[in-house]
Amino acid sequence: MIKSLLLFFLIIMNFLGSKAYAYPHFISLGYNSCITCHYNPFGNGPINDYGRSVSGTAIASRDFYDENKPEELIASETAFFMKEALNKHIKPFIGYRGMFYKSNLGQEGSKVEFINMQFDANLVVKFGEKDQFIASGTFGYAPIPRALQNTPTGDAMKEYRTREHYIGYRPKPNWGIYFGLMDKTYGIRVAEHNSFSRISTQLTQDDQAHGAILHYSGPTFEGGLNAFVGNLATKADVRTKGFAGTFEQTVFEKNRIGASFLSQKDDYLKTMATAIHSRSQITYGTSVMVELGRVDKKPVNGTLTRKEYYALLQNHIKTHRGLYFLNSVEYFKSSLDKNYRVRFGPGLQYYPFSKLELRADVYNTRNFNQEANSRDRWDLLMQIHAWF
Amino acid sequence: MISKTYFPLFLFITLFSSLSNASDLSVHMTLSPAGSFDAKTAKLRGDVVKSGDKYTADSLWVKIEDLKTGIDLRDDHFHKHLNFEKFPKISMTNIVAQSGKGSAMLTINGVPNKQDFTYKQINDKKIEAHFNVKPSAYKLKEAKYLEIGVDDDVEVTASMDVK
Repeated sequence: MIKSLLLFFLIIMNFLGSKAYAYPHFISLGYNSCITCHYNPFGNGPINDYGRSVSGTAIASRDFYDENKPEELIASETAFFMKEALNKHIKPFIGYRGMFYKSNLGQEGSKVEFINMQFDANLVVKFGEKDQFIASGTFGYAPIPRALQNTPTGDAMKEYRTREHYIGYRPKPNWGIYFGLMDKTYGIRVAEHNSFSRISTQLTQDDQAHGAILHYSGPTFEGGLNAFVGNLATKADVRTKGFAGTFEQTVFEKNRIGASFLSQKDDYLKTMATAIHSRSQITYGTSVMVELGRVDKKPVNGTLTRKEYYALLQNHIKTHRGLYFLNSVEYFKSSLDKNYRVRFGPGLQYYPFSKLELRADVYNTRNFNQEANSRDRWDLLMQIHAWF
Repeated sequence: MISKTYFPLFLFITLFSSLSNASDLSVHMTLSPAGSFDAKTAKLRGDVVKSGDKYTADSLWVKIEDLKTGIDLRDDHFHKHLNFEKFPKISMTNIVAQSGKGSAMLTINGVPNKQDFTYKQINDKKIEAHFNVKPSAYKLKEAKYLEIGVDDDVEVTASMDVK
């Protein structure tokens, strides 16, 4: 019954023209590098003027516009609060993400809640003859992660804080160096911070670190090296220090294959992660991404190394402008037990117009346990993402 | 173990996706600092005639408005950049090709230039030609939109039926 209702819901959402967000997969539109649309060369954070225009004229639908409305006008309305930029040096940005979450569908312990995930204000300042100097700062609401609530680490965190701030210098268009608080460079930076590829590697929504990133983007090769000392706003014992890197090579025009590594340590845990990945345009608007990784975790005061393996496969299918169908299949296995987990998540992503993204996902999580039976878990996530 | 299990899938997807692009005329442009896009049309006009091992054509041409990039606004900018209202066609004339190489007169924006190209025979009735074009050689200004530019080196691939 529940499955039938969910299927009905998904079909209705499809006919209403719904859809969602996820960004490295826009290789499906020919954008194989984040820096085309983002100030941060590895994505996340505010989008630049070109990214705003692409979001309005290529990604978002025209469903709510008069059919005669010129695309040029739609593009101009993607600017901050629909106003033409006052100047080319100062670029403000405001972003919000909220989520309606219903867990354990059809089970006794089912819960419903609405989570304000993010409400940020950002300012980018860029200057120099070729905009080679950039400074970006983000400040806003960021809830304490559930896993850290009522823990010393969580208690030390503030709900209003910065998740990203950095300065950067690009002496040439294809070279850049950045200093500040940023996400670590590793793997495919999918939007789903609850994916196994981000949880196992400890690269979730609050795992940024202060450090330096060197970025290179050539005609067919792109890469980044990252040295970091942890988030200086957190307690010293949980600051992860180390280095990371990710590299991608374009093959067959609209396909990229890549590899990543991460080595980090705090006072309690040493982590070493490696991954390979691919991002491919299948047809215009349709993509497939795959990441396979291994993470070794060793307690500083222990001898037993836990090995974790994860896999992520995500495809993204454009049904018409503004509406995407998403499928995620994930795998996770730890060496500490014989079980493994598989998560399947069909979803819809709809950009009704520029600056608004709606997303609905149903996640089925299944534990494959050789010694005991466990029920499938079904969760419903409906997200709203708005930016100005 | 996981690598052995998933690597064939990884390889399959990568290889499969490489087979997805095909068009009668494809213009590949590289963006600066990163990215690329293609303008494509299936309406490449004109006849290629084979005589012995030699290929000739009096004229091949496309209407600029038939070239589509996948984004309407980008199409508008692309067509205007090529000055389509004054020069609505891109044409190649006096085409002669043999032994994998050829030459022609390419006219863009009303400016003719000699253009060399390479080609390969796909099957008995189809050949595919490749060449690179410098837009600046055709009096086209640097293409730039909201700080994202297009490199002055454009790859062209033309797939043509042979009579």
